[in-house]
Amino acid sequence: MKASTPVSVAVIVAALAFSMAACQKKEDTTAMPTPPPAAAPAAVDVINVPVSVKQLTLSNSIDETTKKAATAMNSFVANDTIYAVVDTIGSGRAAIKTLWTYHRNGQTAQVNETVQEIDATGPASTAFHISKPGGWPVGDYQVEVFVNDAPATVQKFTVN
Amino acid sequence: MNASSKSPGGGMPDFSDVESGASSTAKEAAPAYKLYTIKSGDSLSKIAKHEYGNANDWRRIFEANQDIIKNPDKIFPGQEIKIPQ
Repeated sequence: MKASTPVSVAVIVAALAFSMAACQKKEDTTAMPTPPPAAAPAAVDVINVPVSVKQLTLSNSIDETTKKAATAMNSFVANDTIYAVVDTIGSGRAAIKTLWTYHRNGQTAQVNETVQEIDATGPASTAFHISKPGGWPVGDYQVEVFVNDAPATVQKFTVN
Repeated sequence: MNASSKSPGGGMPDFSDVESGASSTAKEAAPAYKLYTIKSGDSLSKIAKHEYGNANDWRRIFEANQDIIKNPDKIFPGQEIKIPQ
């Protein structure tokens, strides 16, 4: 009995050491998964706000798909079709109206008043156009944009 | 197409033949329409003839304005109506 005690102790110590090593290895392989990266900061929310005008651009041509003006202009010639591209942000239903007027010597003549109702889900471009078969009279004009009958923006232009 | 009856006289140019329209990248909740103010002597068929080239299209205008026009034979100067584009 006495002769075998050191051997037993050695066996027990070795077993414990092996067991601890195994547990340590197991712990290493079952380490907690890396937490997912923190979510990126939310983008500025331009979706859940009422429709409002971001920009008005006049031109004599647009891309029919994107409704973007080819070139911003404020001077036209008699036979131009004149486009007013209204870029909006926000969402929901909105009535976008353009009121076109002609100005001379303090007098104002209404040229056209057109409404497009949209159901926006985010940024959008709405293109209005006017043309005159007989050609535009030379002079000073203005287009005013309304959203739900509230004035939004105005831009002057000329026909030379 | 007619633009509006709001243009004053006094030598100002005539914009009654101005044509217009609109389209959007957003869903269009309704077709674009032009606003027109009824003048003395107007009728829906007369307006339809001027706007669409066909007097028989008066019903198109009537249907777009049933909230304010109850009888197509009774329209009044000063009424602002929608002309579908």
